[in-house]
Amino acid sequence: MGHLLMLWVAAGMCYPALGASAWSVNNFLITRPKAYLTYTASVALGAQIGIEECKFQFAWERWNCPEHAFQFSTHNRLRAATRETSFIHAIRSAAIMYAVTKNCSMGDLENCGCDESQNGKTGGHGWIWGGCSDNVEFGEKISRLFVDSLEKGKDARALVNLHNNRAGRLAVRASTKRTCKCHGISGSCSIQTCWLQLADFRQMGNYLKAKYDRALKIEMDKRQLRAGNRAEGRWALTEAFLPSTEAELIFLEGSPDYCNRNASLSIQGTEGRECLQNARSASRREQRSCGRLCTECGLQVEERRAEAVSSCDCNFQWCCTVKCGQCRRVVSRYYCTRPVGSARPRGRGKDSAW
Amino acid sequence: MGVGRSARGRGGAASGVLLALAAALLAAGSASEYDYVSFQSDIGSYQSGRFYTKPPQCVDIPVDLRLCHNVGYKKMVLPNLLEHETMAEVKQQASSWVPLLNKNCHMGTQVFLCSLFAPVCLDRPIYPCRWLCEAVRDSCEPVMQFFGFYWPEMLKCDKFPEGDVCIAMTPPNTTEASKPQGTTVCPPCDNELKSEAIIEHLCASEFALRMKIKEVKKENGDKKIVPKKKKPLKLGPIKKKELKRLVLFLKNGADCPCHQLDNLSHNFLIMGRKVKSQYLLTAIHKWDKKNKEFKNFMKRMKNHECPTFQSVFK
Repeated sequence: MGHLLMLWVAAGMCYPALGASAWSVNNFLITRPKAYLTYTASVALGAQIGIEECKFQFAWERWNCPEHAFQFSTHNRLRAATRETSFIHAIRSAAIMYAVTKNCSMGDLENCGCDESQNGKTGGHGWIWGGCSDNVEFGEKISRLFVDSLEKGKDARALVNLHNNRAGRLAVRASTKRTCKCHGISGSCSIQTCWLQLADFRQMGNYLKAKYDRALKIEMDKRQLRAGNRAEGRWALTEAFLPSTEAELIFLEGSPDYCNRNASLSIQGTEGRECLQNARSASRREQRSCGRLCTECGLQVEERRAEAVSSCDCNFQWCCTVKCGQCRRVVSRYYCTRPVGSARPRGRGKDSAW
Repeated sequence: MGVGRSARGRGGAASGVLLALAAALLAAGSASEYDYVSFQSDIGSYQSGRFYTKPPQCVDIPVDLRLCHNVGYKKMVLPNLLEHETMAEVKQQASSWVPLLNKNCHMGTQVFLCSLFAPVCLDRPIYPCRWLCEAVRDSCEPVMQFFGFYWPEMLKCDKFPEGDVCIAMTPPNTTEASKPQGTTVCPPCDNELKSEAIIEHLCASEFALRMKIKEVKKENGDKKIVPKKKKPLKLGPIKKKELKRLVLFLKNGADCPCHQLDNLSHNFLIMGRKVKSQYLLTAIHKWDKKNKEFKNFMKRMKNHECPTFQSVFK
């Protein structure tokens, strides 16, 4: 039922100029599902990109972006509006916008392409617009169409989700930058052509992770939460939607304790998780992941050693192969384990970022 | 047409499970600890781990990619390592480097340039060695300066690998024998009289003229060339009113020999480019209708269209 509703909304928005009476039932069945399917693959690709980026950003956190968090069942309405949920909505919305925009630019979608509206015009001293500018308008439209249509309620949670969806799309817009190519003789920059291009999606992931760390909690008591449709509840959220906060992630409810397993909340707990220690290339936060995942959750850090084989001493041989040696080395990995004979640990339950 | 791909991110790491499995297999076998094996695939490197990027393709090096078609391998990766997206773009950008190649300023010039313009098809991108870049730059930039060019940003040597696997044809300790000083011909005068090479030069130059020379004299370290009669073949940056008072300069050429200028009674084919307010000579040939190669050039010139950035960047 919900799926059919989404289909209807999607089809209706694709052809806003056409009245329903202009179509016979047969035409509807033939054409609208096809138009819908045109973007479904791109949207699914975007969702996958969002999942992978989320896993990357939270790889060394207690909450590590489990895949089920992205699934939307008939119980979607009951999902808690936590800080983590805010990130999921933003990254998914951003990723879908990104994927559709890129698919347009690469010519993968029939009725959209590059934004060439400025091509040939002088952009500045010594450069002109040209090439393939990413069509963010179109990507944004499709993302909004698919993602926002999933929110069918009018309660506080739905409004928060819509806000976070929009924040994700703003992150994509913020990453647009001018990129240029030099076409002059011998690679000189006497002639330059420039276009607008989205940055690598990692940049948007980093941006939204920083927003997650600074997400704003909207205070509402339980009565207001239940009575979301009342004017009082709406006013509270309206106040939060000031222009200065439109790019911020917001949430309503504190996060559960992610240290301990909690089957009813689908929380696995940190026991058995790998963490980073003594990793030279890791960031400071990553290097502290053993403390965050293990020690602070009442677990201990266990070192496990394994022999790893990798390529080394590679040489390019003319012409044209690369020859490598194989090197063995001992690799240490670190895991959270329960101390022998210890009672069930007490973990932290704070909702603040850690 | 898609252009301007994102910069490549970190390559994907090999799976720990696979590494452990490899270790187990090696332990079971009798392979020694240090064996040469073919380069292991690093699938993530080209695509930066992003499956929404169009995969690079391994394509034949076309005969008319003159910079690289005889480099020593026959296939290349497209887009190349200079982010040229199409073969037309590669050809257009590579064409201005062909004249430098013909100057033979360093034996590794072609290998270096082609490792970027027409990179070899391997599992992951392999860049030229930094030492090769530095050797080519140090030998060739002085020649480039005769034409008003400097080593471009896109070939800056500090972006190329030092300790990592990299491309070079000759071993690092080869010492290049330097040319004897004093007998070096002015680079714009050091040209092969072949129709193909002249066409390449024509495309790499901004303007081309048929002209007679009134006189040649030294000025501020350059040779100053005063024309007598001139007929434009390709005007480029020269405005019609400037054509009357046109004066050409052989940059840094006050004291190097240019045998074409020994006898000024001929007509000349002169090619050049404008740098700031000076018109620099980039190539000079005697206008010799009896020469077979020159006749070929004149015939081909009528039909030949040089690649332009407007035509390839669309």
